[in-house]
Amino acid sequence: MELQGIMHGAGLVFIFLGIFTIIVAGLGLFRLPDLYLRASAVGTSAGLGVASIVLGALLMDFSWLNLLKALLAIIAQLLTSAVGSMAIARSGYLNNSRPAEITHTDDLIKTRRDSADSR
Amino acid sequence: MISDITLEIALILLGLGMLLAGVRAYLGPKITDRAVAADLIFFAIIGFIALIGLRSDFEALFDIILIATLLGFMAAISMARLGSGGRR
Amino acid sequence: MSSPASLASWPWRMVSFLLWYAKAFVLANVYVTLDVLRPKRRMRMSPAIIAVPAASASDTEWTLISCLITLTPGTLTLSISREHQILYVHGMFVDSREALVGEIQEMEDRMLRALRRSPGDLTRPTRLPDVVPGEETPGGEGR
Repeated sequence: MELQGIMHGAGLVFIFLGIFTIIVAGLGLFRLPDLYLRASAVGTSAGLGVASIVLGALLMDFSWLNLLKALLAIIAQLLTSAVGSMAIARSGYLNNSRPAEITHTDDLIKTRRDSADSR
Repeated sequence: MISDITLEIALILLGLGMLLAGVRAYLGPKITDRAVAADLIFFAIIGFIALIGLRSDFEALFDIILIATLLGFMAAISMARLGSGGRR
Repeated sequence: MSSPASLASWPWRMVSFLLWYAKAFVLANVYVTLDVLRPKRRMRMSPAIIAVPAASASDTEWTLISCLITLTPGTLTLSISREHQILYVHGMFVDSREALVGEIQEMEDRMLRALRRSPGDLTRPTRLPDVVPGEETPGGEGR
């Protein structure tokens, strides 16, 4: 009984940590100036946010089968969110989303065909 | 499993995050900004599924979460394709 | 090639890399979260897109390193050039080119040591090649 109480409390902490991360990423969508920085901010909730919500749900409803499924879900989420945000950022670059002004170095722009007339 | 009042607070907070992302998706100057916002909305939806599944003691909760993460990947990839006009 | 000793230490290297990566992952999350919440005048970010020379060789290694970089919040792989052995990385907190290059290469070194049974070739191109805009990539324009 004691152990269950602790796991319940820890589960709540993890769930609220995940929700907090999602809200911060939502704020980041407004506070950060360009696509790539926004993708970085959303990356926090893609990795840590979803993983800790799933972990919290697991702690509140624990069984060994659920542990296996939750681990699979977290691993799938981590790998796929990385590939997804890479694809979105790359398509943004191909779609001429220029990095914000504060970006001080841009090595990739040298490889563009239209680099002469941009900037 | 999870008390009503905690669930409500959690759902409202998640909804707030979702609203922020929704406004960005509405404003987003380019389609890729919208795609990033839609990604975040999707993570909030996974949170909703987890919370409501906990509340209703749903058997297949983790199966649904597993499928949902994989579906989100499909959505992100297709939005990226859409944003770049087919170029890779 | 791979001596029995290095084969025996393989699981340990794997586990220690995973622990190191988990720590780096959590720290990067904290940095990005703090910077989003900081008032605008005191935001510490200085984003940049840097060409990082890489030592990866096989498809698996290229895929994994770019996934791991993107998974760490604050750094994002935009493109890779396998023929020039370069990763194009967008970083959120880049004080200098060397800082980001060092960070990425440390991660890559650790990953390669964990992944390969024997460390093998860890050399990287030292000088950045003069990349010229290539031919139009296959796949065609706007379909």
